Amino acid sequence: MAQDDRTNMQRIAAILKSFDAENTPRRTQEILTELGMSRSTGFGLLRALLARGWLERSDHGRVRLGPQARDLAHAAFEAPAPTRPGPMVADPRRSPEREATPELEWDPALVRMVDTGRYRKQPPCRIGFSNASTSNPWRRAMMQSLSYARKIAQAQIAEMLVTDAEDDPDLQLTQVNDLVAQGIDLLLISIASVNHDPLSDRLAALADDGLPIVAVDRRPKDRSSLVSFVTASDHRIGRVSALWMAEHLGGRGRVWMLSGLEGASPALRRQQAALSVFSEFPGITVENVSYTDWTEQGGADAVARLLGETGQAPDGVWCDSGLQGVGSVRRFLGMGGAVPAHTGGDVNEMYRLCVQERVPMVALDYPASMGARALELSLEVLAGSIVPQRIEVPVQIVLPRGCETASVKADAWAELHVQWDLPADAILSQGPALREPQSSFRPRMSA
Amino acid sequence: MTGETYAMAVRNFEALIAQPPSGRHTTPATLIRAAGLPPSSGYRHVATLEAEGLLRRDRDGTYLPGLSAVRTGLRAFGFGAIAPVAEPIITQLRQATRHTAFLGICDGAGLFVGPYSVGPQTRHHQMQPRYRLEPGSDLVAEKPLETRLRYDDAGIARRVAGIVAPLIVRGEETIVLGLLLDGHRSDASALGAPLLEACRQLHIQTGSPS
Repeated sequence: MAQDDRTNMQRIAAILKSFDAENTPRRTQEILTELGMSRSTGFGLLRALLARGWLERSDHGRVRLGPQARDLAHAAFEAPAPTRPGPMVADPRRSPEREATPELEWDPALVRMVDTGRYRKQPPCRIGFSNASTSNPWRRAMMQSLSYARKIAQAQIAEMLVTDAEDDPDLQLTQVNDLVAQGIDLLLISIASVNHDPLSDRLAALADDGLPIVAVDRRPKDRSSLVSFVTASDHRIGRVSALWMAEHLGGRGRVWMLSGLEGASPALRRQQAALSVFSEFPGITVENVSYTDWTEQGGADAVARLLGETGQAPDGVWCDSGLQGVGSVRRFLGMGGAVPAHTGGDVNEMYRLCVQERVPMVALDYPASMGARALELSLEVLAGSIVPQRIEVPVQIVLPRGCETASVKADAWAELHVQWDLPADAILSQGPALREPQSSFRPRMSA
Repeated sequence: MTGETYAMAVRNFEALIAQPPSGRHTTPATLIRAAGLPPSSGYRHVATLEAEGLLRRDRDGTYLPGLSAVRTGLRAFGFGAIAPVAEPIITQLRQATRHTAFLGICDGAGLFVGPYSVGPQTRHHQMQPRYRLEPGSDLVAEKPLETRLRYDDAGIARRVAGIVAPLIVRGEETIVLGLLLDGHRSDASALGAPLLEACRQLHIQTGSPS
């Protein structure tokens, strides 16, 4: 038997996780053999777990998970918001209207599962991450989140090789080949361009050769090469932000649309969803759709150009992210006068500006914490678990107080969401990595 | 190592795993302190449980039970097959209805609350691990049941409104999907449809009979 250098805490976790979905009773010796534990240590822990009710005896000396283990199921998927002064929703005595009828947009892919048993590998493993780019704060925050998760799971990861394609799909193709040549157990990828067929074809070939591929944030056009895709609902971001804009304007007004990066799948899906909502409001005129590369400068340039063309500020500026929204808001502030209603969150500065200058806004942060979730999922794939084919990290609706509309209500108030003590370019949706010391994330190819 | 060494390891595990549901901890230090463990070994244990997926942190850094903990808990009930789909189903249901959504296990007149997601509309209610159902609360397939969920809070009997729909019946136990209601603002008749749709999706994915 190989030497078991695990801690008792790790052994307890392994024992509790060794039962099947039906909690079928197991022979103790069988458990210890499977987990590679010595008899003295294994039986010592089993006895202690039995004594505390984590396990219970069944027939013929077999054991199964006990009553104490059932309590583990009582778990919040997200922490409830801390209690703060002021009600989260309007006082029902002052606002007796009931909520609008809920609309459940069910995506069946979210509950479709994949058995990854064929990718099972004994840890530690080698993971390659082919990143589309690190060109904006959101992408760096996503990388920060992924790096945080790597630190948590360091015992399971021998090496993580990271490349940066600088938004160039040809460069990404070369880098993917380099990663594969270095011998990786799983490829994690964020695609530089959804329309690049050679890259899609290469991923399909790698999948056929048995390499598990997980996409994060941006996926290839042909999703059949992927084991799973970790993202957030771009459709929800586009739809809810456009609905808020249309309702905030009372169903009438001129809107400019500032999208992110042309060719990037999140930008495309948010824009399509928003256009579809605007088309339901005959009084809303979409005057222009521009691309901004998800940069502050791109947002400012687009607004300057449109102001030059039309000579008149719009009633609303729909941005698919605050990355360019900041540039737009600043441009209008520079002109003096009222700033039109805006959409787009993500970056701390967008919240600071809108809260400080009282700009009406709605924000749905595209969660940078999906980086950590993608790495966790990659490890689940290499453990051979059953995993979802698509994971959508939840997206909160953030509104300043007083900006709720008939259909769009706040999950969080912007005044509480903004972080005054953090830098302007902080991405608030990166999870616990947000307050980690910022390390350097220069992409490197490990030897 | 002696039997006491193993017993202590289990007690340490128990102390840490019990903290997230009972309090809000945003740093390892507060979690370790609440568990009554010395910092020297506490940090190592927390890191281990996080790596094993038994603890995790949400976007604000608050410690929560990990997804492996939820799976283990549902396996202990013998309902492990629905564990992988529980998170997307409950999260989508909460997102669509803005009400607290949960998976529960009814055992006669009692309801054990499993994984849940707190909706802004009903976040004023602190989710209890166990409720009592009102007498005469009969669960019928394809029919959401509006009921009162009773519990004791420091010796005071309290109740909260809820709506539940049965998912899987096995012997004396029925697994249900449910939503908490806000008496002032919730429209139970409008919430029944998304609840049933969530049940239907879960049946399709797990192949379980209704």
